[in-house]
Amino acid sequence: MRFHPWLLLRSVLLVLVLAFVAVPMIVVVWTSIQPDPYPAFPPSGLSLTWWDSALTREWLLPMALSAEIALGSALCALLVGSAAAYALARGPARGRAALEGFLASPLLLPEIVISLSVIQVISMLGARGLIGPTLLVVAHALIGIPFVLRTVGVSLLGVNPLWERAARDLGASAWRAFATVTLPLMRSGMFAGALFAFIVSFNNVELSLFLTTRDSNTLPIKLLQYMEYEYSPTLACVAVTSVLGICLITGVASRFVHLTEFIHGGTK
Amino acid sequence: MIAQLRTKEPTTQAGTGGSAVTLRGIRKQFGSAAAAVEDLDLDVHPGEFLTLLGPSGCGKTTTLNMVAGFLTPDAGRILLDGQDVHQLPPDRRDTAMVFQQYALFPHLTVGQNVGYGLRMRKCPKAEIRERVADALGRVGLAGREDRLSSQLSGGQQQRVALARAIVVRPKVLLFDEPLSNLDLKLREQLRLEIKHLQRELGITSIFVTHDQTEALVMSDRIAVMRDGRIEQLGTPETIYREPVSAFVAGFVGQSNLIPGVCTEGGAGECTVRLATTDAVRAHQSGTIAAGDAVRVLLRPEALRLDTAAGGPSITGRVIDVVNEGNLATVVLVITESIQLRVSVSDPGAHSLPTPGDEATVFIPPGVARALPAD
Amino acid sequence: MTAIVAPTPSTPIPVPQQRRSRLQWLTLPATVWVLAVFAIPTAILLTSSVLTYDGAKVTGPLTTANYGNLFGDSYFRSVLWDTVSISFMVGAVCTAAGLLVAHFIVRSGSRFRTLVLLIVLAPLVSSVVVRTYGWLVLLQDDGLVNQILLWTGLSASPVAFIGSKSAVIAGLVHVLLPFAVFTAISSVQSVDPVLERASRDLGAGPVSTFFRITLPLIRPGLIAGFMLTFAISLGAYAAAAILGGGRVQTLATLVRDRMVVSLEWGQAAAIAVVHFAVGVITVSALLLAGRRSRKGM
Repeated sequence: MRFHPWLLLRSVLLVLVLAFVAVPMIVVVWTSIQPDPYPAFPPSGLSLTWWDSALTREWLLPMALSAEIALGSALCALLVGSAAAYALARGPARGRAALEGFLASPLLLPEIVISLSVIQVISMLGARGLIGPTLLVVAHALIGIPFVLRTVGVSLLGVNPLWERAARDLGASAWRAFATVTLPLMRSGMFAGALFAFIVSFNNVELSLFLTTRDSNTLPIKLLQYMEYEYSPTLACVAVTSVLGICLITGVASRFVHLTEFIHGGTK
Repeated sequence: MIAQLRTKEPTTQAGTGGSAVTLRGIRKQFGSAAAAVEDLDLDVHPGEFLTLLGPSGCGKTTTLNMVAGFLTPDAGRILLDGQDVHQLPPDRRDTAMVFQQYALFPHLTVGQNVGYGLRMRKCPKAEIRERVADALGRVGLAGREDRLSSQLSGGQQQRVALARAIVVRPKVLLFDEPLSNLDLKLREQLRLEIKHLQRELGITSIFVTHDQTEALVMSDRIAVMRDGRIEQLGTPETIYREPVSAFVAGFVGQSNLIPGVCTEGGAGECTVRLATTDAVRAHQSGTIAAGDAVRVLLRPEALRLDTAAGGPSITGRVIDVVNEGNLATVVLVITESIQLRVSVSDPGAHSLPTPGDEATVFIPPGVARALPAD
Repeated sequence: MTAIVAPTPSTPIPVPQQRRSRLQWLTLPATVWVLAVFAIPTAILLTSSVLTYDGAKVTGPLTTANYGNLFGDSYFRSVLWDTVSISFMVGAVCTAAGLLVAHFIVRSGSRFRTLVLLIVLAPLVSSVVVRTYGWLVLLQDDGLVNQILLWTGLSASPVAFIGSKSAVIAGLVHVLLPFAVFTAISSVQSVDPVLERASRDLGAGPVSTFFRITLPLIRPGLIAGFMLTFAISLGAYAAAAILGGGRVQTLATLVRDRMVVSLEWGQAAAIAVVHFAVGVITVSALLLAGRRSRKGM
């Protein structure tokens, strides 16, 4: 590229933006591996002291619970969303955009409002006993469904319904035709959608805000509670653990599925 | 049509203000693929209309983009009126391009589109208005300044693109297959309009196309390109009548290419023993010695079916006769791998053979041309 | 998120009629789910905001008391204003920064493109809480930024970042930047590069080309991106709660306060409705901008 003064300015600004994005993340990692309660500048060395209190029942339990809930809600979103995506892809064009919009609408409202409305309905019905991990699974699936819809929809774009018809023609039942022809091709979309739904659920804060109890506390909510009133580098260790977990899962997933094509929603 | 082709190279027209474009040793490679343009040398005369003609991938568009400044050559120099410009960005070169996709700015009116280059050159508003109106008038779209490009047809949009390019009075006009997106009738019409406009304005023009008819009709000279190099540079007539290779012969105009071996070399002419075992006397392109394998070019319209023509002949069996009214094509099978096409004009006046007949094709003297077999 | 919300791009492939209507049953579970967990509770919330409350229970008939108490309270009005102004700033900064990054990723052809995209997307694997924690460590009185300021002598005493609107804005921009980059990428991709090339060819430099050609053409997309980040940051709780240090209140923190602390659910419902209203208005404007941009193309 020929040299141009504006190019230099753009590069400088870009680096600043990237630093803005990267520095807080680096700080979290740094805090977890240094000895002082408040990370010192200049840095005073490495230490893993804070990890002792991080890898205890107190934190591992919420982590496990978050993972369970995430798995549950991802599966629900997967089943329900894939079915809907299949129906939408094969259905009439009329009303399709409306239905898609409706199913994606939970993303448009602030999650905190949804949390509020759910807890209020529960309280009105006098069903406070319903509050717990199951309720969280149900609520998280709500925001997982749009992701699955999107990714499975993208996968289905490459599946011609004539193939299923050809399979029927050759003797396969409706279910077998679907299972042997279309389903394998939906797999990557289902996988990616479930992954996104998992991550969204695991990391979720605002939707879960009014739906957790002391016994069933998710990891992000517990972190949030601590952060509001206390401060400790232990939190950084917990944070790093959860991020590493997600990175691991995403890394493994990307071996099986080409994830970048889903990030741009199929327009790339 | 052949008769209308230019036979002479145009001399520099004094006082037209056209600029010369020179390319020396130009090379461009993309990644690790084969070079798109290899060691290209070209001199475009001031005021001339030069076409870069070739199949996709031959490097013609790459070359054009280098002249415009959208691509930087890996090696070589580009001179505009003797000045080295290959380091200049496109906005600083005095070139203007007419794009295949028109590239009209959708959010600006026709007038704003055409005046864009003048605004960049900081022309006073009144002058812009005047020159825009003049340019639009020249392309037959007077008074349309306030329309949006989306309200115009494809042909009209291309005219606006043309007006936008000529209004800035560039040193060089560049055309990137501008007529490819238009239907046939429009293409033929715009072809002539562009040619006349260029002649009138005298701006040096480089035109890129894969359509040989366009090249033959519009150009002062044609550079036939292949695999990044210029295979032949000459007037349309020269390219058509005296192609230097089977590729050029096959690309421009209809052709029959018969394999053969040169039995007797000579100056300008040689004798070739055709694979059909006939012998024929042929002009030669390049140096061909006895024993060389050649391909003999026989233009379909130059071959004759009636015995009055005389000269060496080839016999074969007619397998197809396509009568288009003013022109008929007779296809004969000579051997298993050799077919001949003969064009018969005004077929009503002749009696055409029917498929299945035996027929004899006569090669009038001076028609055959021996090309190196590549 | 607009990438998620916009309809899947495709042309419908023809399928036999009776199979189509039987297939529609497959959308039922999803529809029921969204209805039961989202649509109906939200509707109930809207209506309940005009009912009388006593603490957390609905006790009485229709009333505008909840709203009256809210808007009559100058504290609420100032919180509303703070929330809107913070979200506005966040939207503006995200849109500008997002455009910068997106333009680089789409147009520059640099070999660092993928790396830049990855860096911008990387924070998404972590929770909002984690990202905000990083800002907490940075901006605290004993945090890294203050330490650097003291060490270099730029400031004599620690600057109280936490509890300031700027801290909240910084945290929210950090969270919402990936979304802004996404929408900006789609916008920039929609501009045919040949238009920029034509502009250069006619004599406009890269900066002129950007402002005269690129920017007007992506404007609808930019507006949509702004509306999106604005709307999301209106409802953001974590960043405001943590970085606001209790001193900066937004609608979200106020809702939580009324729900969990002061147990005035009536007011919470009313706040949520105000929230909802602003959200609907923004989304409608978003859709209108989207439709207009599609017409303009």
